[in-house]
Amino acid sequence: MEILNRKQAPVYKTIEHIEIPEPKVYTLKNGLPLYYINDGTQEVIRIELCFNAGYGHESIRMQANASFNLLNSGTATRTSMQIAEDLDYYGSYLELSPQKENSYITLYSLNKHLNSVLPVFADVLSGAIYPGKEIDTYKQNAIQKLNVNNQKVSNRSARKFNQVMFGENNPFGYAETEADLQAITPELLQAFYVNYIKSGSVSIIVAGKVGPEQLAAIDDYIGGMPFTEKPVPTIVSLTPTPATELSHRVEMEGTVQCAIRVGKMAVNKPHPDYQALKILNTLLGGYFGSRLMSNIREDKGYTYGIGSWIISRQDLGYFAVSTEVGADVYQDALNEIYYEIDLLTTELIEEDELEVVRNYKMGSLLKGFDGPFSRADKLRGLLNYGLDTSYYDVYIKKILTIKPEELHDVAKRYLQAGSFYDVVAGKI
Amino acid sequence: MINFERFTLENGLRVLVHTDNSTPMAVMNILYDVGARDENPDKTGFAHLFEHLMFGGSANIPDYDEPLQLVGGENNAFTSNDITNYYLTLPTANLETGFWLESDRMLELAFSKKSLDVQRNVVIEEFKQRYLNQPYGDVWLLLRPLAYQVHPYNWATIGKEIKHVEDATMEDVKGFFYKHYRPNNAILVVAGNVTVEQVKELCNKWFLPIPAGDVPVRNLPKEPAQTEARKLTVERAVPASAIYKTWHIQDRLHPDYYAIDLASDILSNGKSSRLYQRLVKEQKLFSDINAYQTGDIDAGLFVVSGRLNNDVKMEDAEKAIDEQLDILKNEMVEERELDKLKNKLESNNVFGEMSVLNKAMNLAYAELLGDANRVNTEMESYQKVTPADIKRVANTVFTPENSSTLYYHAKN
Repeated sequence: MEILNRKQAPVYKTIEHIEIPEPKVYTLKNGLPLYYINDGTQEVIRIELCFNAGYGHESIRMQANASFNLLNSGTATRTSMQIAEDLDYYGSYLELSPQKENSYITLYSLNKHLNSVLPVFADVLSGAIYPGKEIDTYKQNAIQKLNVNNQKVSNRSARKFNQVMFGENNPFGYAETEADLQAITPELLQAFYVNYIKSGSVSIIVAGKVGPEQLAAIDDYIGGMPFTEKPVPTIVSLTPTPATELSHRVEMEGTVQCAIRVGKMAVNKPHPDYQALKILNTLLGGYFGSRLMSNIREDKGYTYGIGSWIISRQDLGYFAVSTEVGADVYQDALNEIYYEIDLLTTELIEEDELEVVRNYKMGSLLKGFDGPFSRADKLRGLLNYGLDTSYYDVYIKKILTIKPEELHDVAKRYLQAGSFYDVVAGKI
Repeated sequence: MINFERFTLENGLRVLVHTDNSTPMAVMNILYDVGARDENPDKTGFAHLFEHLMFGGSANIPDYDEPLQLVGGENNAFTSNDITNYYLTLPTANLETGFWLESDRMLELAFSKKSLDVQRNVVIEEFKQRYLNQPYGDVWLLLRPLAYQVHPYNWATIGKEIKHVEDATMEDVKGFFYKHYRPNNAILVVAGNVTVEQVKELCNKWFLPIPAGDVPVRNLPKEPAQTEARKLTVERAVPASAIYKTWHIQDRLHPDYYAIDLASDILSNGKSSRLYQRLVKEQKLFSDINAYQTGDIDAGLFVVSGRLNNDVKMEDAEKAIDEQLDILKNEMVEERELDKLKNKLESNNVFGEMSVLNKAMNLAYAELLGDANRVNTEMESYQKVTPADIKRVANTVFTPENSSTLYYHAKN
């Protein structure tokens, strides 16, 4: 019998191709395209509306946030309780996700109950009324949540980081206060709703088991709504007004950990360097085997976890590192973060390490296109930038063929020492 | 419906195979039948620390993560009071790499001193991050010893205190491994775009040569029936006071499990649920309130926890919770309300089966409970629950002498 050599890794295959079917398009009665992905094994459906409505469209702070969060607080014909009851009864979920740039309203339903929940969904989209009583409860609870979050080092460092990177009055930078939440009124929410939701700028993606019957039902209920495709100009400038000081500390008594954020402006998705920067970021802090994780967690044991990201918005992109470390080692951890970033600009990456990143990223993309909801999420990330699936053809090629020299070049241009903001919150 | 095939290797490893051809990925889930409840009361947090060490290299493979990432895979693990569960996802074409890695760390760990030193620190930071440095983070460190006096659910998975983690030695690590990490104490589920023949062949090659071990029969002290209400009051620097109430319930295999689970859903599953509608929205006593049962294998807890609005007195908050429990004890649930909860469960089930990893985890856990096919029959068990069942279990569970209450006061 052949003796098993456990030291020898099995042969493996590199993923070189990923099946990415184009989404299909159905035209609604109002002329808007509805993108759909008919896939998967389960009789379920997800309808997602992405609104070009965010903090840049606010006349006062938290207006966008509260308008979306309270969308299900009542309509002319249903109280908030009835909306909840009518959706819960059919095991359906309505997700309201206000975000800084675009905001999302998502309905999940079993196919067999779609016709029962679509009327509720349509009612909420076209008939929200924001009752004062509901708003008062919301404000009270939101203020308490804000106070709880303000005790967390991670939240405090994130708030400060956003202020520092974008400016205290920038929609991406402001940190809401109790007073901001108190200032919300039914009239302000109604005004935002009318302008940016009820007749807002929308892109629609439906995923799951989507056949002609489901499309017709969706068209019946929401195809007649006065949505538009055109992006809505913001009323507040999104141009960052970053701080002049690079280092910022938020002193918090009695914490046993400090939260660290390090970052700087970079580029966004449509930019020619973006893909290379994403690959470089994966190597630095984008997966478990990354340099930051290997050094700061697996070698030094300073943290439970650390990661880094390239975040893309419509007109800008930025790089950020985030971690929580023992309060006594925050300076050491910060030094190690800078050491790892700097190393990318001074030394070429070895092909062995790059090979792991290539294969990890390909596996992760393969998973990212597995299943209708994952594919819909990927599609969303393209539609927002007017890109199509050919973006991924280019990205896959880039992952498979990028050379250490190109990564080095990108590192030198975007991650140059001395240009980073850093924020530490906790007991310093 | 989750189809599966089952076989057992000669060394006692139980294997389940679930084929789903709709995915290009494969999943391996290995459940070890060991959790925090199996720890020595003076060395708590060990099962979880050990989980970290399982990534620190094995007998023939110096690093676990890198070879997996090299073939496009990802992995993670979690420890609970009952089990330790490891899982990985990779492109189907590279399934054998998963077998190579998982079988080597079941065969023998590297027992590296460096790994132990570093992971002790990582776990201590995890302890701080999740339990000490978060508002309300220490709640379960307080509640468990209050509710359990004898059973090892007395301590949290992370451990009773940081010192227990600091004191862990290599001897402890080795002892724990050979005692619990044996093939006859594990359940392997392979799921995704795989065939039974392929899995059998790989199992024979990689897992069959691992010797079975002398796994001790679990004999945990049973928590005696509680005879007196317990209360604990603490003061913490948090923005809002909170209340946590627990009652002992039956174990996971008891037929009343489903009625108890539905009782918790009546109280707090979804925005139309009773506690949210009545205590958050109508009476405005709480900013946030939850009810759930812990789902532990041994007799667990029913929990109601809520954060009080400013100016609300603790007594009033507690009274309002008691009133809602009294309604459950005295009045029959309407059929429509019960149907709603069953519809929600069905929906969760159908959505849950979209994920191959989720299916694999559920199969492994159901097999541990006695039969993997429970994943397909549990919905029926829920369907059979009647309003009278819920009223009956509410009356047995929600008695003052069965309760432990933590009053978590905000320091001014």
